[in-house]
Amino acid sequence: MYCYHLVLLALSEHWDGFKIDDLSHIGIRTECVFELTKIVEGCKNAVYYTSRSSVDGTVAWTLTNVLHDVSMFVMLHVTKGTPWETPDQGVARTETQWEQIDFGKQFTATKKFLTTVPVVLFFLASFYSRYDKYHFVINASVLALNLIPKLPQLHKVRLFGINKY
Amino acid sequence: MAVIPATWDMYDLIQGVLQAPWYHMVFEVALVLLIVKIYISQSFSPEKTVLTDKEKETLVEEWVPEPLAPDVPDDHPILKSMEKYCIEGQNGKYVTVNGKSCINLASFNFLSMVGKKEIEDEALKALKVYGVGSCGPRGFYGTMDVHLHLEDDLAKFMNCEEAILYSYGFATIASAIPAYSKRGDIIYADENVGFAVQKGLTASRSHIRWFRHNDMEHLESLLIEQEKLDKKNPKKAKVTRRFIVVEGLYLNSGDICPLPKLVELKWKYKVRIFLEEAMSFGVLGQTGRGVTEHFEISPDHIDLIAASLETAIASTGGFCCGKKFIIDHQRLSGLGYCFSASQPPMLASAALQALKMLESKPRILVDLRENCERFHQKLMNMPGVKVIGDPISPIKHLMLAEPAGDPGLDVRTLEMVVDNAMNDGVALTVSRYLEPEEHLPKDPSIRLSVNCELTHEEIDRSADIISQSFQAVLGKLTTRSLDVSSPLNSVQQDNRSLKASR
Repeated sequence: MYCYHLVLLALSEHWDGFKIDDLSHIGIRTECVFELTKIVEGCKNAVYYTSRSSVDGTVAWTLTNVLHDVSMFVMLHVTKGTPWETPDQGVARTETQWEQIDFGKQFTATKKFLTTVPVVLFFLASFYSRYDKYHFVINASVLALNLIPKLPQLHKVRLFGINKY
Repeated sequence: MAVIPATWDMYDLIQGVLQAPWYHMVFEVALVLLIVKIYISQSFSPEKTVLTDKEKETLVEEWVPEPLAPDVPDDHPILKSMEKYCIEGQNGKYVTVNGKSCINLASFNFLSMVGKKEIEDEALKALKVYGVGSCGPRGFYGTMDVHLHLEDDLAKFMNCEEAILYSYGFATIASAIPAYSKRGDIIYADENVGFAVQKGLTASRSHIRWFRHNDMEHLESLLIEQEKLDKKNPKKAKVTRRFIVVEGLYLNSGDICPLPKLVELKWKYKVRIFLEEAMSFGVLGQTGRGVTEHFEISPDHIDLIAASLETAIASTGGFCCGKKFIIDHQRLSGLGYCFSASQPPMLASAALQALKMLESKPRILVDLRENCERFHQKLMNMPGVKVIGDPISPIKHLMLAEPAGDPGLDVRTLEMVVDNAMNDGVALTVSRYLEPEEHLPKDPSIRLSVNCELTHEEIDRSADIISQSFQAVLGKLTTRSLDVSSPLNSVQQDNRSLKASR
């Protein structure tokens, strides 16, 4: 969890930047690269240590995928608002982090990248779990948790009023 | 793939791919297609309306450019008064209008601080140290030691933890409200609040619930209504902030807000109170601490007090005071504080000196109150005039007892009264509003402000002159309904010739 904690910290520090100016587009991409590096390292570690311990290597990859998807879901689609005051009189109070990226524009480079990461991770987890059906169910459901809220059709939609206020 | 330990059999894994179940393959292909689709999609903004070319053309055709500078009507009150009145020298207790010395009942010089020798000396001393302007906002090279001293002294004077200075009285409350109240929050505001407060309410983007002027029952009914809504939607209620915004002493009506009842409602319904004391600071209460002292309520009960240094203190700017954590929030979120050059240091030291004088001579407040009451008594008995305002308020509004019903006509009648009084040596003013911008239409009135240094004879004389002016104008209006000439018309002629000679 250490690397996720780092990512969370790094993200929360810069997350509002792109709301304010265009420079931050660079900022968010740097964050993504940072995040990716952390994930890759995390995966390596997971594979390395679990293979030497009693935990099965397949479990390690599924675990990585689940941890990644759940934490990204919480960071991007549950957390609303900004860590500090913005000059928009509280518009961001009702928007999730994902909705705030690139002023709410869809299919931007940042958003395309952030959509690809969980899919690639799913492929990896499936491959290393040897296409086991139980692993498939777990991996596919956490993937759905990450892909469905990213769809443009669900921009600013709160299903059943969940997380509305 | 050096990281993958040797115990992992790559061959085994590839065999896994070959034996993968069909549903898994279908799912992965679908994912790949989704990713490809996302990558080839153009980015777009879902909230932006996309116009067709035809729609664009019609919009361009329909567009009529607005004039760069709007046409000003020839009878605009400011143009008219510029032609009519020429003021020379300082606006103290007496003001020289068109070369004639008049008792000044038009400016908010309640404590007669304008033109005080001690204040001028202090300001000059500061001028020699700091120069004229501070040349920057408070957070950006604009903070001088006098600003900090003034903030400390104001906080001490108001018995609050901290005070924050603004360089413009109007901007104080107009910045303070939107610093705390955001979109989705609720503000209960008195219908009669001044223009600065109204601008603050607009800038906050919050839901505004207006309650009738000083009508606590109406306010309570609104609060009960909201309480019912909150019970239905507790999640929303949890993130909604609520504020009551009132003025201590109302500029537009000269009466005092019922603060004890407001504090009671505040604790009962969990609302915060913002108190605008532009008019009551240095006026109400035994030592001039405003409406909280007037009702003997601890300032701790009020979440934010905003006051102006432009009225009784006769300097520029304003300040907010309250608890430390509340005030500190404005140092980064008060727009008027962050993005405006700080108060000129010499005016800050003038305000410091005025505050010192107010503290050392509380007698002037007693004088002011006596004058207000005496004036009120005199005005009450005037035929044809209705006086609005509290007896102890230094602001009094004189209205026609029998208004014509047409505000424009009433304003003209009152203007004639003002001209008449000005001719006899009393400077008055008709209260002016930015009508289309105001929340409610305002009744025409003459706004009278009382000075603490007026002697009893001066009060009696001005009351007599006002009474006579009203009588003269109303008499004229009843005898000749049309073609009423103002006694200042002759002066107007003089001014024109004066202008021509220039």
